[in-house]
Order: sequence, then C-alpha cells, then structure tokens
Amino acid sequence: MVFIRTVPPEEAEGLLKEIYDGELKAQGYVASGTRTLSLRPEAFAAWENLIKTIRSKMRLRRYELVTLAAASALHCTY
Amino acid sequence: MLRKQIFDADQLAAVASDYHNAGLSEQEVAVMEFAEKLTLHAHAIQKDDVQKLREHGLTDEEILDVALAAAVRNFWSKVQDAMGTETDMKYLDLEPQVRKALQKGRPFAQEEICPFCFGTHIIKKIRTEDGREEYYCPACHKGGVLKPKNRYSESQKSQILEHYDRYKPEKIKETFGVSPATLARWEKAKGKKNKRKMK
Repeated sequence: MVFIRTVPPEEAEGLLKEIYDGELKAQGYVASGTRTLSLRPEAFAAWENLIKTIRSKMRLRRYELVTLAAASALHCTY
Repeated sequence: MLRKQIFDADQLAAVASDYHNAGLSEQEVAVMEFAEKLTLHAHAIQKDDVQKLREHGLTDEEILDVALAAAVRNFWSKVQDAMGTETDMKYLDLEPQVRKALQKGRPFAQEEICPFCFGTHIIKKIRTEDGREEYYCPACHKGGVLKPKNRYSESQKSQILEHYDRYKPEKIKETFGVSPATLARWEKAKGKKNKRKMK
C-alpha cells in the first residue's frame, strides 16, 4: 500500500472530489496514482494541466512512445 | 498509460521489450533513444544528440516537446515510486504478452546497460577464458567484463593494493589473480578518494 495517508473517494471534497468523480466517469475507477496525490489535489490538477498542455502539441503516437521509453528506463534503474 | 487505439497487444509488447526491433520508424527509435537518455543520464546529452533528432526531421519545437513529455513522465514516476503506489488492478487486465514485456522483459535488463554512460547499446564482445562476457559500448567507447566473477570487498582491495608499489602488476596477478587493469583502476579510485579527504 501507499506509504502516506490518502483520502478515500467517499471522504473527498471540493477539488479532490471533482478529480475523483472525473476519473470514475472517464474510466470507472480512481487510479491508484491519483489517490496517492490526494492530499494535494491542487498539485495533481496542475500536473494534469501541464500534461494536457504538452500532449496537445504532440501526435499521440509520439507522446506514448516517449512516455514508454521514459517509463521503461526508469524501471530498470530501480 | 497504454493506448490500445495506437498499438495492438503484440506491437505494444514488442515496443516495450525491445523498441529497436519493433518495426518502428527510424525517427521513432531516435525519439525513444533520446527520451531514454534524458531519463537515465540527462547531463550526458550533447549537442549531437539534439542534432540527430533534427536530422530525423524534428523541428526544435518538436524536440522540446519530446523533452517535456519525457521529463513529465519522470516527474510522475518518481513521485509514485517514492510514495509506494501500487500498480492499478487495470494493469492485470492487459494481455499477458504485454504484461510480461512491461514487467520482466524490460528492454534494459541490468546487464545490458553500460556501467559508465548507462547507454543501452552495448555490444557483447568476447568471452574471456573463464566464461565471462566482455562488452564494448559504442556510445562512450568503454568496455570491460560485464559480470565480474569476483567482487572484492574494500578491505580486500586495500590489502592487495598495499603491494602495488612494491611488486610488478604481473607478480600481483600471479599471487592474487587480480589483473593489472583492475589493479590500476583501484589505485586510481583510491587516489580520488584520498584527494577528496584532503579537501
């Protein structure tokens, strides 16, 4: 489990509730990574905004390949 | 995350386990190499690396996009790993070949990485007489034994090094089985350490 406290969906309020609800609606569940950031929903929202901005300028295929390359490289060093 | 609309399961598994041989275009491979280098060793990126992307037809804006996308993924992964986030159950729904490629068949298994520049294009060269593989890294031009048979502890090293000034390296090799090159490396490392202490 996550090393820090997180907010369960039923206790979410305000911005966090919006984030949780958005994910439930879009994918049917709250991603574990989203929940990890639940104590700082503002940071999550800012990050999501950043990602959207970056992605909007790229072809999705390239964006996904870059993400995969970075993620794979990260795994190998741990 | 993974986009099924872009890759089917087999393609995704191929890209995740070895993107150099996954039927991607040369440009796409170059982009992934760049993202990988940024992740592993950003400070080693040189003008040439960026130039290579230009030669593959990327504009400067697109190069920056690649850097931003790779770095933002780094940001996310670092936070999640450090906070102990577990993989979503959704991950278990993926096709087994994809899961395997993402999980175990990581493109860069530890022994495939150059220990100096962390490049992933090392070439396995020779087998030494005792069966160890030597490698050569075309990126940083370094090479050596990949999996040393013996790992010497620091105290063993310093014990053997005591003989360094007094005996010829050949003699030391005969006695301790440590090659002259290894010995020279230890001595150099020791020199560096001492310098640091003096500061």
